Amino acid sequence: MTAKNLYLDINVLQTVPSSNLNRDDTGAPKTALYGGVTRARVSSQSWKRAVRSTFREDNVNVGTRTKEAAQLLVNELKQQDTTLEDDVAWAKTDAAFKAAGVKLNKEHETGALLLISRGQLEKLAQYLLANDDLDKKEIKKVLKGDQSLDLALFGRMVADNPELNVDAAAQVAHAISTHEVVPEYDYFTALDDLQGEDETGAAMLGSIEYNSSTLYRYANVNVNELVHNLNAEDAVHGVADFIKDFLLSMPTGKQNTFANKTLPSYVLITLRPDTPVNLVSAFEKPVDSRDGYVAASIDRLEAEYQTTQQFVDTPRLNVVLGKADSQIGEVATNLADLLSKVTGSLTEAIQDEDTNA
Amino acid sequence: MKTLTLRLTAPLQSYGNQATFERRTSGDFPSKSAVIGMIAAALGYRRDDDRILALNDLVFAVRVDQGGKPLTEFQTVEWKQGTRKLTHRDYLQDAVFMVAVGSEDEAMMTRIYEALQHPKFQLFLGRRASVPAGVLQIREFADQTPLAVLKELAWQASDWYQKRYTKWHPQATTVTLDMYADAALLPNKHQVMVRDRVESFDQRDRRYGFRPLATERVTLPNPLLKGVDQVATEHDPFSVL
Repeated sequence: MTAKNLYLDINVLQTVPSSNLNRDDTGAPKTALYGGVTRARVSSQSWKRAVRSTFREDNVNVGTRTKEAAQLLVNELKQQDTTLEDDVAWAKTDAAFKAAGVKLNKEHETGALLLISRGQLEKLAQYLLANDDLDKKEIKKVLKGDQSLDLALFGRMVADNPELNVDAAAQVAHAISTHEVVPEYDYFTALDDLQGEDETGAAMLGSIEYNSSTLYRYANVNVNELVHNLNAEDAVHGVADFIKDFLLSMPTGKQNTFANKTLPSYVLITLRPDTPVNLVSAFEKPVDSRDGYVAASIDRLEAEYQTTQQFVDTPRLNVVLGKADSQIGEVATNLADLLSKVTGSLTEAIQDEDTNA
Repeated sequence: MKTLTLRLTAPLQSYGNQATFERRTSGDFPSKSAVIGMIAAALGYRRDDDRILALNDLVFAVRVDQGGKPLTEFQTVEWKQGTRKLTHRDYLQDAVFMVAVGSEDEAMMTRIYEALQHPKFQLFLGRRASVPAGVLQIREFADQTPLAVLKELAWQASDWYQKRYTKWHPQATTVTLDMYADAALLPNKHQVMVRDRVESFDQRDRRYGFRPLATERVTLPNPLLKGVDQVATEHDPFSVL
């Protein structure tokens, strides 16, 4: 057999008060049926976008998703060579995109969104300034190398030129509530402050649908693929950045209306040598409680972890944050401790892999 | 023939039948190409790997143990600052499917079994975000076709679903499930051609050919009413004459 697998599972329980994080075309919070009852749901694409935005705030090496990649390249060219004329920069850029096989329209925009990283723009500009004759292979190499973390984790699809596609190393499931939710409606009226004494009634009325939930959130990373997309060292840092920003980010839907930004109550991170395991099955039977959902959900999740262990290999590492007396793994005292435990074990696993190879 | 069964379940699954950008629909049960894609991912074949095509030769059948409720996911894509596109993706919620694949090549089936337990790439149920719930349940059967296995295998729906079924059909000692299989397994049945034969998963050139599909129903015991005698519901007044 070839190299061993290395998967990182991230399980999070997070309670969210009245909120509408991610809404459908009617403005209602998204839901899903599971175990025969309605659950609150936050889509994976929505939470991935929140993670990408947090990467940007944290200055993690992150790409830009845009139709205006050509403009970015022109800016970069002019930054590297301040004497460069506009039309020369555009000519070089057009030639580069042509060589890469990505079409630009009249407004110099790509047909679909292109995810491009800082490093790729820099290298591409350097190459264009140094060479007048463009080698297609070199350009493609630049566009596949120096991937930003979000590109390596979440993948890239270029409709025009699939050779530039990158398959994602991470998998993010839709977050669902561990329990049944019943939609609630907030009926509101707005009054005109300058309404005359002789007038009555509201100037506007409406309603907002919302719910509150304890969410089970799950993501995994195929560490070998992340190393394939980046390199060993960047992959280890990348995993730590991803864990941190996956834990701390939240989609911003109706954030100003509900001020619902919470932090996870419980985190379970497992580094496995065989297969990723999504423990959502713990909540197929919805949690039923008159005394809050978090504690009951933690117990369910830990029990499910134990049950699934009968069917899979012993993990390399299992760390718990948020339950000091947890029996199922090492207990981390805080987020920094959790991250250092994970990076330590990851580095060790990748080194083992190298010496075996 | 050696056969493997997989129990496919997750809050959301999706089996695209005709992909267009703005609206992506789902069939009511797993397509063979989706399962082939999953097996290829487990074996570590990348999208342009020629070995994927050989997986079309696997014998395939699927049984709907717990039908999914459709969900249309509404998703916005922001092209550039301020310009958004609206898209719709269909999913099946809360479903349980029993998939069976088989082959005379026993060594290959063993390799697939091990690969599904140690997948090289993540497995998913039609869409990347649809991660299987819990550890994937796989079972091995020697010397049986996928169809024969599914005709015998006990009903695999979730507990709540079986309870609800029994509550709504208090007399039902059996349950009848739909099966969809390679037409070769059901030679006497009407067959339809579906665009579900993998020709290429390559993003450059994604292609599907046609494959013949036939359907059958199977009646299995309802495990919750095992040993309960069916109450006679037939009323025949002439019997007293």
